Amino acid sequence: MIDNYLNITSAKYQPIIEGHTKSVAIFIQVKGEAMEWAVPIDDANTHYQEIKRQVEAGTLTIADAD
Amino acid sequence: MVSKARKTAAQASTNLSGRRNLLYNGDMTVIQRASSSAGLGAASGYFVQDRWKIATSTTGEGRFTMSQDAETPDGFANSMKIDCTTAEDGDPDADEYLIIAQRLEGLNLQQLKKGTSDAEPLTASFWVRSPKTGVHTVSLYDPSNTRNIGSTYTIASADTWEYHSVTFAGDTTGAIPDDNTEGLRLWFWLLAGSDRTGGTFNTSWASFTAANACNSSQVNVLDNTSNNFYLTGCQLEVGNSPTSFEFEEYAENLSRCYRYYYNAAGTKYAGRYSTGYSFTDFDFSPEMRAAPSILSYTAVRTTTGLAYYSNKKWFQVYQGATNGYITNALLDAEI
Repeated sequence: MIDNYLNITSAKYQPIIEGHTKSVAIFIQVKGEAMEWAVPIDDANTHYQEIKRQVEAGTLTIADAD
Repeated sequence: MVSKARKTAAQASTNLSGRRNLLYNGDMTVIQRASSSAGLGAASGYFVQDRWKIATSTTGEGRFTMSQDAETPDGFANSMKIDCTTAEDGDPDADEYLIIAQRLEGLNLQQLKKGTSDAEPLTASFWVRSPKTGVHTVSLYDPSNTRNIGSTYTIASADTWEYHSVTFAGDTTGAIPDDNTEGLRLWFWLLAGSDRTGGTFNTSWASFTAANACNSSQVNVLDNTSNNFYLTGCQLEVGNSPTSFEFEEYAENLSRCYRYYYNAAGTKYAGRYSTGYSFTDFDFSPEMRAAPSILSYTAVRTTTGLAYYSNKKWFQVYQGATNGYITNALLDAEI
């Protein structure tokens, strides 16, 4: 049963921050939430798992960082 | 004289030592998110009591307020209250369901010996006050192996506290991974449509089939706006019979919940990183289950350059200001 579903309306990689060579998080806007969430690129994080599931399903695209 | 092996086996089966309760926050005491949340029922999520998740279809009409409540059986101070505010019309539609769930990490479940010939039985016990007499379903789900088992308890008197327990056989099929991913779910069903009640109810471990997940006599707890459902004293333990509820000190309970969710209430100031930039650091002890997401905050010095870096041990907020800060950050590493 999939009940980690998130209604993600947009996703964008976080800009690369000092001390890192690539983006380490993804900003997502979830329907009904006032603020963007920042989700770490970590396979154990359930929000990241759901982002990956939706990307692989072709229903979500992650935009490049600003 | 009892041999060492037999003594060890006896202790394991009767659960005499160590932590007995596999669940977190079984007495509904820790509420880092909110004391009450209204208008629920359209989406799954964690809303009030730490570690307790609402799982629901997105199509049901039923709505409810979830809260921490002082209505309790003797010996408890808190319960979870589900207050129906919009009734689920008639019988639930086929795809509708509502579950109170708790998800457990695999690394905490290795003593169950699941997937071996020595697999241990589990007993769930709890205090419940339901507005509906009749059959209610409790079940376990193993997501790694997509297997489940169910049982039922029967409420004799509406709106009355009752103590119930159900025992699940050990599962000799499907080991639970020894890691920080989800190993087992406990489900308390509050309503279910025919997509989940239309098959043959699994009272033995079997491959998960949605139609076999819930008993066909499951009552609809949200069938009237006067309905209030309460739950507390939840325990899941190895063995064939329930033992008394294992109370924890509040600080211990809260500390264990921090592994999954951290409400950093208040303002945390940053340390200067370089001219015009700073990092605010949150260190986790114990470490969180996974690198957390940040779900919200109420204020920051500046959103210029605002970015985050996290792992299980710390969370860093990067800002384009030498004197940065962040207020009321909510960090989530739930399963």
